[in-house]
Amino acid sequence: MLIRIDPTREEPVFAQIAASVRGDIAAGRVLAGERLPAAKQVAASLGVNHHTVLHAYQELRDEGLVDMRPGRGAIVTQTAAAAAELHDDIRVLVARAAERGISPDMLASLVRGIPHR
Amino acid sequence: MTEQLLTTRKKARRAFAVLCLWIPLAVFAAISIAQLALMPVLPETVAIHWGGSGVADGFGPAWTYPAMTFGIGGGLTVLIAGLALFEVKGEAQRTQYRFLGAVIGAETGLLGTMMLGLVIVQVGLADATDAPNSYWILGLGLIVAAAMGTVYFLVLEEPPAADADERDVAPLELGDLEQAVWIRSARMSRTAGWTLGLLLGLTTLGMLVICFIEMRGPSGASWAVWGTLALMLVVTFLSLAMVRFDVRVDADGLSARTPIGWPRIHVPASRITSARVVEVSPMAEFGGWGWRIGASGTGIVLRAGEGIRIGREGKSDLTITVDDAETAVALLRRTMERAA
Repeated sequence: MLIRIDPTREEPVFAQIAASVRGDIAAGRVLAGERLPAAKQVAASLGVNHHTVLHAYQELRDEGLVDMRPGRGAIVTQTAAAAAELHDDIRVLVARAAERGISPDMLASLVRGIPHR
Repeated sequence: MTEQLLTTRKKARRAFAVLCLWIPLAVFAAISIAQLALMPVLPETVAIHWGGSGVADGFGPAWTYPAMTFGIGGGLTVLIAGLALFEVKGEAQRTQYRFLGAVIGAETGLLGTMMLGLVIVQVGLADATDAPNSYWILGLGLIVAAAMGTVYFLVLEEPPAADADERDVAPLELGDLEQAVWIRSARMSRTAGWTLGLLLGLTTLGMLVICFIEMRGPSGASWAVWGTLALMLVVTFLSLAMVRFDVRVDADGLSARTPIGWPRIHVPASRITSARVVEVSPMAEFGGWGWRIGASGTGIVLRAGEGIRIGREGKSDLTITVDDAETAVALLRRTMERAA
């Protein structure tokens, strides 16, 4: 799993970490049932506070991509496999949006605006 | 990868196949035939085990010997040499012909001498309980094993190698202030894990049972039994400690550690001279699985297939079999650029 952060970007560090993990899950590099690396290890390598990493993991838990249990760490859920299946569709959509001058942020807002269920 | 390198490697591979697979198999076949031919002059039931005092205390039918010779001797040889010869990922890949050759030579010498010797001393006996003290055959076997192991080590050649699957990996694109870490667990396959666990569990349990049975006897368990049990426990502990390694690549370099924190290894970024993706065949390249040290450098080899190989300044190469090695190598190359 590759986690990268750029302190010069405006996006908060925890969100960047979560985005890295999400990207790896979406690309199928991390499979359901795998454990995310220990927050302490990630924090030490990136030079950030380990609460920042935990914050990112909690966000992923709230999205349903990982399951967190005390003592067992953060485990990637089955939802992740479903998300990975959408990966190609999403890439096509992002590319088509870019052709029309629509940024990924705006696309995300549009997706959120679509009523479901 | 030149034509000449491939020719030398093919020659070495053929020599290894002849010396380490076909000749030992022929030797074991010949000994089995000799043992079968001797069956008419052997007692029907022969001694197959000798106790601590040199008195025969275990017996079996005469065909036990040819069966053991071919089954154990031939089986072991086919297992080691076969894996080394056929489970190879690339024609020019590194090998451990000398080390494996020495092991096979010694194994052939020891088993061959003992299997043949133990039959010969029983020729003409009416009753196998009269079988003479045969510890000297074990001694002779060890001498022959040492001699054959040495000869094999000297005769076999370790040809130069090129690494299998050298993918051209571009350094990871990273902003000047951007930080990245790559973490992944290297582990053995589920089947291998279960097999290892069962083998270790059953043998240790068996040793424990033997210990308890012997402790109830008048003289208690012998030191040999206690020693074996202790050894089994150490092997089990070491094996269990190393079923998983957490591999990490960051600005500090590369590190790998087991869940309990020992053993571990760390290579600082400034001492890494090269990084590449390789295809690893454990038996051929490293002579087995686990934490390996040998002609191919240091290896943390828990399975066959994709892995990272880094060159270390003033030290041998380090190889770790792990998934998604390409990303790790991309980050390592970026880290090397920064460190330079």
